[in-house]
Amino acid sequence: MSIQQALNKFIDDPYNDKVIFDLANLYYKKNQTASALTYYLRVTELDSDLVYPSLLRAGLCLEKQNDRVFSTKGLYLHAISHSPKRPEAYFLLSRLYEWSKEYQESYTIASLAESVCQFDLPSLNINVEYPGKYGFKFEKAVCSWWIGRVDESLNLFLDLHHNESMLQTHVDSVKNNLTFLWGNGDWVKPSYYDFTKLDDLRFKFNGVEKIKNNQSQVFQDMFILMALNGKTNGKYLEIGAHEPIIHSNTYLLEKDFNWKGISLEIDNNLVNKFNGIRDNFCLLQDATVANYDKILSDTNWGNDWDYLQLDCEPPRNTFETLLQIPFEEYRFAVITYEHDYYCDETKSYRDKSRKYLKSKGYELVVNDVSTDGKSSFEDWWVHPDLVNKDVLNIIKSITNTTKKSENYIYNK
Amino acid sequence: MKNLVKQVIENGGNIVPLIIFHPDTNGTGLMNPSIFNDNGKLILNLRHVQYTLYHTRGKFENRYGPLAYLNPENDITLRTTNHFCSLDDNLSIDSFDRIDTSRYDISPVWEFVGLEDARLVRWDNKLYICGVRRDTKTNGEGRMELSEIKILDNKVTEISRFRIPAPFNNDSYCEKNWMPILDMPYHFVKWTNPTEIVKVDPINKTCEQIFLGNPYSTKRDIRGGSQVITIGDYRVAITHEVDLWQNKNNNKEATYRHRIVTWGKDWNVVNTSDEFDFMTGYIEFCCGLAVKDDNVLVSFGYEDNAAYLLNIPLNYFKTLAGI
Repeated sequence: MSIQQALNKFIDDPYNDKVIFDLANLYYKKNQTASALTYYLRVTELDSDLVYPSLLRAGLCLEKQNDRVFSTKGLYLHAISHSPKRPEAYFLLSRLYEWSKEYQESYTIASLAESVCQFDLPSLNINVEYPGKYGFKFEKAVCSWWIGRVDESLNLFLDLHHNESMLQTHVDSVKNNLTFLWGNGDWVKPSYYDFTKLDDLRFKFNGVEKIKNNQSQVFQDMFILMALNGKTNGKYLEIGAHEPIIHSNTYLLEKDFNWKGISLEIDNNLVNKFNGIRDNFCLLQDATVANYDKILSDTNWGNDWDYLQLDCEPPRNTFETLLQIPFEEYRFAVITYEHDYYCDETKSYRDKSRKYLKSKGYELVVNDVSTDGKSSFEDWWVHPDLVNKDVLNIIKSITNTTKKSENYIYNK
Repeated sequence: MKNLVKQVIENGGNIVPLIIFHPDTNGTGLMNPSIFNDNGKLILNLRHVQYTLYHTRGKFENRYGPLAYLNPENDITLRTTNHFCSLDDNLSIDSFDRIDTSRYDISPVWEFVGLEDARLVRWDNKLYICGVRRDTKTNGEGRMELSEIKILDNKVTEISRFRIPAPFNNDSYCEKNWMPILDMPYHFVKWTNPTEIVKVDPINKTCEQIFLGNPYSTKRDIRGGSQVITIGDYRVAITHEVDLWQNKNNNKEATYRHRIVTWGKDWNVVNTSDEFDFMTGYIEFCCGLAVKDDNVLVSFGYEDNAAYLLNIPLNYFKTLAGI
């Protein structure tokens, strides 16, 4: 139907809500938002089921004109008061607050909506830019960062990323937020564990049900917890910490399993970021020349540790670091060793590290881990005296091929 | 009479929405068009305002009341620009260009900026727009201005501007809605009850009253609107009247109604139609009237947010005008 046709119908029947609404929608579609607003307001004067969508569309008309925020909020508030259990108006109001940099208001409205709205109501028959329930999670993810809830923000973004089917604009925004707020520039989504995949896990360790999402790039954190059957209050030495949350092998351990630990990182910015976000501490250190005996002994945490991460890049640095670890005095139940075989031009450091760790009494339990099943970059080890043998039998997987981590962790 | 347009359509007429897609408008109000038959070619001035009128009589008022001008929050001015349009045979706009007024514009000193409700007229083979401007004095004093426009290098450009003094008392606050008389160069119907006609002189910058008729009884003040056109031995214009009041919350409210006023050759009013609205709106405004072949074209704005062109069979219009 054209505006001309709709206009003729309106003139013939000027108090018919459906007719007026159709005319308004056609003006709206043509971005003639002032005209559209006039007709939407006429609908709101009638006793009609179309009052609520008309209020929303009227607000969207003003949004598209820019710089009429006060009145736009008024329209969304009208819509909320008209239908307080419907979610669309809350979302638009929350989004508008967010765009206006009123983050606490945005967050609050989104939280209210999650609490009071009925999300199983029939959807409106027109597009009012409401993306679905996840929209509130998205607004909270954006705004919580601005109101000092960094962890919550990150978790919400990760939750969105892992678990929600989103519009492309939100997919891109979530990825950008993860990349530019917490990750490095080449942040790529690997496969992550989330609670919906619990039944597929290779081994359901103690406490696994409290994990909503993991963080490691190839499930190292899940492997550590498997090997130690969900140990709480463990302790780790993390060499090459990099990001404090994204791709971190220790964030999950710290947050959900109450581990303590020491991390080393050579990048000053990352160290500052880490110590601003995490409870456990990160040292600014060149891992290849660090005094590990002193670092470990200064903790007074004993000689048996639960986890050692070795990830320095390039392969030579990681191997040289490995040689610095005082294995004679300290034992580590689990070691993840990044040999980066796929990019090691010498193709030598994987074998060197294997020989060395084996000589120190460690057992290779998962070899040649990768994200894609092609680019082997890591081996996972345990100390057989520190890991339950039954568990070891479950988690051990030595093959002649490169493993896709997802296949390993889900026992595919 | 409610819904004049419906009656016109029932009597063989039709209506056309007037829309342009100019990046400067960004969806805000296109309003109060002025149609003109320029020697057989239909042209039109379309007013654009950068505000949006929020007007409702339902439960969902704006925070400022039932009638609010929503200008950008970082710009309290209510700005008007004018777009010169040409129409095709279907009465749709086939080209448009924003009138370049930069030669004569000065920095505005009041919040209503630009030439408002400009009517098109051709006198002495010069094409003019004439409307009210209120941005030249800090108190918002309004005066009719007569601006010649010309197409230069494919741009419609204002090439002269004459701010018309008020006759007798140039201290009056606001002079607006004077109706140009198409067949009498530089003459306006300044007021309709009693009919007052003024003649302006753009060369000597003067304005004088040349006719004052007898008052007649009306419900409200009859204010100006369209141009004054000639039909046979009569002159005809569409005027407007305003009911202004405060609602229960002491907020401003308004209703506009219209009439067709018909004068004889001696400028005595021979007929005033029943009052009417165009499309059941509260604020509608007409500043364009033209004859084209066997039809009369009426251009009007709807709630400051939309513009329409009504095509009325001449014989039916004559009935409405009491001719």
